[in-house]
Amino acid sequence: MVSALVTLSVLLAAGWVVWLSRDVEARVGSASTVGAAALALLALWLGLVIGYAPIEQVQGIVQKIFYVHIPAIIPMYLGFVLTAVGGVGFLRTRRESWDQLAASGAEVGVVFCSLMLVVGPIWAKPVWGHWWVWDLRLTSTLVLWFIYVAYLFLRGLAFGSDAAKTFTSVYGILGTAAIPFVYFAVDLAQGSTMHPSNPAREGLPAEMGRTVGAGMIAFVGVFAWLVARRMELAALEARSLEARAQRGT
Amino acid sequence: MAYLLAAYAITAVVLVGYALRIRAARAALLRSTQQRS
Amino acid sequence: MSTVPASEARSQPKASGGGWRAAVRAPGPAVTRAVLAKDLLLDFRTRDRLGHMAVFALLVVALLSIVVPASRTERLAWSPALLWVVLLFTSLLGLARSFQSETEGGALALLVQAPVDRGWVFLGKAGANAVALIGVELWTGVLFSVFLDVDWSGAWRAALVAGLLGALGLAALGTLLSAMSVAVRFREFLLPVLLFPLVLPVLVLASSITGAALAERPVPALWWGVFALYDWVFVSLGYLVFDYVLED
Repeated sequence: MVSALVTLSVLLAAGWVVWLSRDVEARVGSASTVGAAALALLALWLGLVIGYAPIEQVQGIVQKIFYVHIPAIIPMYLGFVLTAVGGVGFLRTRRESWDQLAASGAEVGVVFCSLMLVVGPIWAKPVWGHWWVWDLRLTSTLVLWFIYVAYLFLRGLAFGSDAAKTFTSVYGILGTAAIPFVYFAVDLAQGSTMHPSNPAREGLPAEMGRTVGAGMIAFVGVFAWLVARRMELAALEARSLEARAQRGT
Repeated sequence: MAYLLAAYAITAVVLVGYALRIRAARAALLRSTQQRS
Repeated sequence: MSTVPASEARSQPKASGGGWRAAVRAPGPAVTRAVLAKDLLLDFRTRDRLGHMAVFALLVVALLSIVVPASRTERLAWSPALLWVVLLFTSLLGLARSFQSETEGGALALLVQAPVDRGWVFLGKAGANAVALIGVELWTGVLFSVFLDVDWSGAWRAALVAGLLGALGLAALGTLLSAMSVAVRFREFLLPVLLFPLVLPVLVLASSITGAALAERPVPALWWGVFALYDWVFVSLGYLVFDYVLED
């Protein structure tokens, strides 16, 4: 039930963002509704974390970092998906709106990815005694972060040249295609993992499942809203550049 | 407990901060285009 | 096709101009063969790229042998990973120059105007890079046995196939990214930054397979499968996408 809701919210959010990108400036009004919904979901989620989710036996109250760490995973991946979709769209149609989608997806995605890399160690230190552990999830998140950063570097360094958008579109596609292989490789390289085994597989108590589910839906909402605002900014920037070019300043 | 609060606080600060950055950039952009016209 | 590019080609050094005139008029796979032949010929005649890569590999392996702990078990445990890290850095040297002859000879414009699906050009270029990489791998393998006492007798078959698959993967991504970074600033920084995260699976798969082979453990079929899949994915993507890359 929870996972169905989460999947639904992911599809809705992704669909809305892509729809929005087709005509950002006209459609951005819908962002306030999404923003309000995200805010409400965040409030619900926080309430659940504080009042509803049980205190875990082994780790104690620190375990509740789980509810802010796991929900960040979906936005991290969504960022890549949007970057790849935008990349393909731009290569095929050459319309800037696709590139704006890709850029916004990458930027917001890297924010959530960086957040995971910071919150993960904050959780690891009290639980395992080390700030950093080379386990499957943390390591793959790090590599994903490198891919994001490489994409953003390429964007920054190529900026201004005609090729910039083409190249970043290509890299976005390559980067996203590499993700499953990266996961396989890190898993292979690690042998055994120190990360808490995926609770979903061993059956999460209902309260925990619902709380983390609420967090996931809330974060997806936040992600979508942030991408929308970022795309609006990109559209405004593009228009202002165009106007400046026409005026010859 | 400190770790727990730190994790949530950092998340809030980062996300809110990023949202504010977008808003500030947008406002600056709108101001500069208004000045020109 | 106007005659202007052709006359420009005639005034260019033969290495880049002559090959391109042939390539431009031919259909698909023939283009690949032409590009491949031209690049390989260039590599073997001038020996610049190959020579530099070989010397670089020698230097790094020698350095490593001095610095790395001398215990045999430790060397055996680390050798596969070190081997592939050395190969990765050496390949950077070669990949960065993938398009050097084209940009210097002015053939890049010719290339862009060619009325063929440019994916075939990519296959030729990547193929040439793969061959160069295989050469470097063989050389590095020899260096490892000489300097670090690696005994290849039981493991060479698996290591060779892993080397082939690795060279293909590295060449595919490296050629594509090299083409993209030709026009960008700070390419010595950008190429590794773009390449390394994407190519991590190659490193892990190749060194795991080599390591298992050296330790006389069986190599799971799954590893071979994923490796082959990886190569297929990125060679195909390179082929599909090269058109767009060259347009700009």
